[in-house]
Amino acid sequence: MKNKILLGLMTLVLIVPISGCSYTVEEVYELEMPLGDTSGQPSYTPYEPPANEPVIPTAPSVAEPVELVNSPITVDDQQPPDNVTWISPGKVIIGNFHKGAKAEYPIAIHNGEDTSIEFLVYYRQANRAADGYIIAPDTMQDWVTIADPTPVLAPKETRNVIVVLEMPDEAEPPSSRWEFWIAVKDNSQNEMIQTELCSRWLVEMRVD
Amino acid sequence: MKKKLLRIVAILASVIVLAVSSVMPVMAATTQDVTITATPTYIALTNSEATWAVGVVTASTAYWWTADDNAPDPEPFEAADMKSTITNTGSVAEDIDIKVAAFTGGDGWAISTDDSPAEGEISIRAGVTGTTNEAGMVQVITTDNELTGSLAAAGTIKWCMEMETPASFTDGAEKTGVVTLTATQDA
Repeated sequence: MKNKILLGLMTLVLIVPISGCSYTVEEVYELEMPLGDTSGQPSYTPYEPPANEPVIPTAPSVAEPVELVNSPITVDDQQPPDNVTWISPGKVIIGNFHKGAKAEYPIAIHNGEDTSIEFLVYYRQANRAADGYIIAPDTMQDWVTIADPTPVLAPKETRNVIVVLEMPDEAEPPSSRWEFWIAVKDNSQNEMIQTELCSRWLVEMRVD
Repeated sequence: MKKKLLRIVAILASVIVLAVSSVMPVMAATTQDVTITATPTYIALTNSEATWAVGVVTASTAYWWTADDNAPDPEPFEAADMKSTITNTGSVAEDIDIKVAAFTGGDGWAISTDDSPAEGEISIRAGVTGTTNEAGMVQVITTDNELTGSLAAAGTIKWCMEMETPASFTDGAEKTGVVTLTATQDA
């Protein structure tokens, strides 16, 4: 009997630390939000600058318009224009990719025209690759699924088209780092010179 | 006595296991989640002139798609002589590539990879403001070549083309070709 109890205790002693062999770190952020005086109506006291606060001078008026020559125009933080056809993002980076893995991300397409337009969305081989990456061969397109390859967008409409990259279990990657492009083309173009917009997809394989 | 010894050994073993497990690092996961990173950039491009109706052509002759339909003069090419303007209407610097598909209609024309097209071939070249001369133009083929790189957001570049007709024709049918400008995020 004693032996059974001892055996049971030993089993518990062994199982508990092994099964609980993980640490959980919880980071708790506490936000302090003073409630203030909630007993009555909010009060307002006009701000009175202290006596020693510096006075900011008023900008002088300019008689003639100022012309900025060779100044960089930053549009990164602006909303994309409504009247221009665009795609977003310009670059997607997939990390830790591996056999059997699946990654999906939407390409946003905007129709900047005043008429409905059918777009073509397709895999295409990259013209060049980023440093350290190789150009993925055409066969990689078998791993890419485009949810809607011919979306028809109403004037000024923006729509997400899901692109899924799925690597088969038994497949071999072309390299540890490879790049392919997702191209978007306005299918209504019928003149001699046409345009195509591409999103670059950079894939980095997991190091096992 | 033997049983007691066995018990002591067993207890010692369990104590050792406990001690070791408490100082050993947690077994790290052998897999990592796939990560996807994308910055909110957008790619856009406009090209001011989309047509080139050459008309009736003769063999082994150069035709220019410039402001005055003549070879740019002076050299290097000046903006005033260029035909069309490409504007990067996206939010980041872009690379602009160019390619041409084989001409269709009748017997069709293949695309020459040099400026001396054989029978049934056509040569297309493209240049931009600042191109040194005709020889410095980009040979436009069926796969992409860079027309201009790192065109800044809101930046513009003016460009032109030259067409060299086949050494000889096999038919008189009208031909149609498509030139494609491709924009991608630079770097």
